[in-house]
Amino acid sequence: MSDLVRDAIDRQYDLLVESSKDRNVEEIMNEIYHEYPDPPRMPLRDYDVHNRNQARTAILRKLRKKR
Amino acid sequence: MFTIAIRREPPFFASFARNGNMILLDTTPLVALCDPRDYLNKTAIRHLKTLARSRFAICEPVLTEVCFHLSAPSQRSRLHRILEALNVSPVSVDDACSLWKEVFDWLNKYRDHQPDWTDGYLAVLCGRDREFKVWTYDNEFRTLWRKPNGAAIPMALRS
Repeated sequence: MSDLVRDAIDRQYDLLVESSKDRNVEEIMNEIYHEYPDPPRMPLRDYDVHNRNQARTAILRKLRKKR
Repeated sequence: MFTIAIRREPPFFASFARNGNMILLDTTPLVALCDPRDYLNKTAIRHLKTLARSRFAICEPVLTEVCFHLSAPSQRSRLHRILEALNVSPVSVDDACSLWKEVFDWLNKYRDHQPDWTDGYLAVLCGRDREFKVWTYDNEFRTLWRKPNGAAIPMALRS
């Protein structure tokens, strides 16, 4: 009987921790975005950072500008 | 050898921290997290929720790449804040020359596929410590790159 109760408490605790974790991640990220907003009319990146070739080309372009 | 620098008590997500795998951050998820206008931003936040109990680490090559892509002061301030919030530990390498040699060897092995220094660095770190898993949106880590011994690179997320 006590094992059943303990299991139920553990499950409930895990659910609580999971839900508060999800909420905190969202909240904290939103707080950071709110704290450091982009300036108005900041242009979007003109390349896809998740595309390996485009990202590499962008880095090379930036390095060339420094020379 | 290399070590993970110890950080102070974490301010945010770390209240959920558990012992276990160390997540090595790659450039792509970090850029996505730092830029709410990035098309993978929501995906990265969703993934962060699943990884929030993990410990995170970052190496200098990744941080350098991220700063190339996040050039605005607002973006870099967010990056700094997110690294703090995630309690990300720096990977500090004691035997840098030996690590460099391993990375150069790795780059040479994959030269036909034109890997970057960061790719090799992460692959070699994973080869040195079985605790490391990589959080990346770069498909090459699943399909192409391997540890120096030929084993698959452990991923933090399932595909």
